[in-house]
Amino acid sequence: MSLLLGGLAIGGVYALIAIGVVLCYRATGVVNFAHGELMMIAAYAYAIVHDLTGSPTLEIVAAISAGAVGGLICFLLTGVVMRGAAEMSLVIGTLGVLILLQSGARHLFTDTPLPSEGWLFGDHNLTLFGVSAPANSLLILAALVVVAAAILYWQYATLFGRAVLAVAEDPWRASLAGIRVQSTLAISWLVSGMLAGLAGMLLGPVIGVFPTMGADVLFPAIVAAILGGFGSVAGAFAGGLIIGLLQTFTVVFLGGAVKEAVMFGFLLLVLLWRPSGLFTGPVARKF
Amino acid sequence: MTRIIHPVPLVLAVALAAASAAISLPKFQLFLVGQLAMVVIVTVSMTILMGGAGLLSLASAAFLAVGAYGLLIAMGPLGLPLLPALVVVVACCAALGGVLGVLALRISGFYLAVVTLGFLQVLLTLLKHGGDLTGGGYGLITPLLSFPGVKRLTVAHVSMASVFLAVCVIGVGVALMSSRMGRAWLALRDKEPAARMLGIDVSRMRILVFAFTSGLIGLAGTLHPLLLGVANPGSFSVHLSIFHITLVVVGGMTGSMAGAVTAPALLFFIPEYFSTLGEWRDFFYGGILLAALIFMPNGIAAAVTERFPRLRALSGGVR
Repeated sequence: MSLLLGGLAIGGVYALIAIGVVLCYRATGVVNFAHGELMMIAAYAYAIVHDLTGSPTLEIVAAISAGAVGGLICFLLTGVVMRGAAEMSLVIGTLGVLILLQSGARHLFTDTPLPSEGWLFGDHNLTLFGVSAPANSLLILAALVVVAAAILYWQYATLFGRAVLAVAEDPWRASLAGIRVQSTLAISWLVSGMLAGLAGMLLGPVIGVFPTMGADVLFPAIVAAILGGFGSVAGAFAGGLIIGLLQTFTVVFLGGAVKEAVMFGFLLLVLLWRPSGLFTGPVARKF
Repeated sequence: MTRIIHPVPLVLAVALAAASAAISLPKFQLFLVGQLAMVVIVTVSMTILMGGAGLLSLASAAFLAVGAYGLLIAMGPLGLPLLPALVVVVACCAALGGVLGVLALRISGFYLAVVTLGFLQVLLTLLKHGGDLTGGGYGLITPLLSFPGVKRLTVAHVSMASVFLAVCVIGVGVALMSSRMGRAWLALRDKEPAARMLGIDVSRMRILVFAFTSGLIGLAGTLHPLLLGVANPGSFSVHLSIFHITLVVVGGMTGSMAGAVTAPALLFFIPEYFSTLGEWRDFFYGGILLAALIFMPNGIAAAVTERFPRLRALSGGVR
């Protein structure tokens, strides 16, 4: 039972990351490989503010705004400076952001993980793949459900959600219809960055805060998003939970060494068998 | 244009000349030039893959690792001599690349980047947990080498060999990109349905480009342990792949071989000259990557030929 809860908790973090990646992909068509790094700077912001003030409100504000600022930087790069570049160039651009942020963090904070005790709940002893204390897992899942519900409503039931799809379809015609294209894109990046901030804040106490923390979890999260049919928020939500459970049970029953291999095999299976994801939903783009 | 000399002997002669010119360098410089030659081979291959065929792969470090470990395993536990081991390993890399190419038939764009990234991560985990076969986190150490005609193979010999091979690979790259196959790659990069309608076998071309470039990167990988004396998982991280992508972007994603040679020549030596850069190396390369994407999206070769149109014939590559 605790295994299940632990798997769901780590899956919840994957789902948050996957929703963030999908959100900005829906609007801009760019897969942000630097999303994990946005998480990482948010986790550092959280840790630093925790050391300085210890006030929970300030900590949360710091983490989420660090993620948001990161998202805006990515928007400035891909949406303003490199506007109209080919998809491959934009993806390579996010790889550049990844390297800059990661090596920057490595020089500022070194590779040693920051100690992460006493955050969120004082009594946490949640380890990534072991037995989990319920408090933090439940918090992650609660945060995930609230956020996912809000994003689902925002993307599928409001005018803004439809504007996002219109911009993705054809920016020029969308602008003729009175949609502010650039601000739609900017808001999508901003919210995606805020989700990265939230995920970083939740993941930090679980695995510690270190420069490659984001890069390590980004791959499973992207696999989760592909599983959900890249582009669908609900798919990313379910995909994240499935990947989290899969990973936890793999590690427990087969050992940690094959974790990556199982994940990769699973990805290949999904791509070969159902390239549009396990759950057929609205897919904004085709390849 | 009349051909006075057949290109194959010409390339071989230039390669020999370059290798024998390299031997006059002092030992450390020769070692650096050998490493540069290795990076040039990888950049030429990645330029063909990314610039020529338009496929974004993060697996260059993986094929380097397969080449490096493959050579050491073939020479160690399997007991093959150096040259047969080299041939076997390069063939294995090409076959593995062909398998990835089969996967690339169904997927493209960022899906391919994710799959190649996953391939690299799986490979690194396997290398770290490979027990005695791969030496775990410490990796493998190159044994003493012997070669017919030379009593003991030193780093100087290997550096010369890699300069020779690099010049040959550049020649092969130029020939490929101007061949029927190279033009087919450019066509399917620009508009796949159009290429299909022109009668180009898109699937075959994709598998070929993957097999070909993976074999070449594997060849560069076999030089790695010979030059550095060791192969460990830490040196084949995703950062190395992004470094190769940086070189391709700076050289130009147009399939330009001139760019593929200039970019490593420029970027590889900068950290050596400014030793104060030291630890900031990755940061520096990340900045270069973004600056190149923003300020010269067609790469250095295109940026130079815009200034000096007479050089256009040299640069090659198609936007």
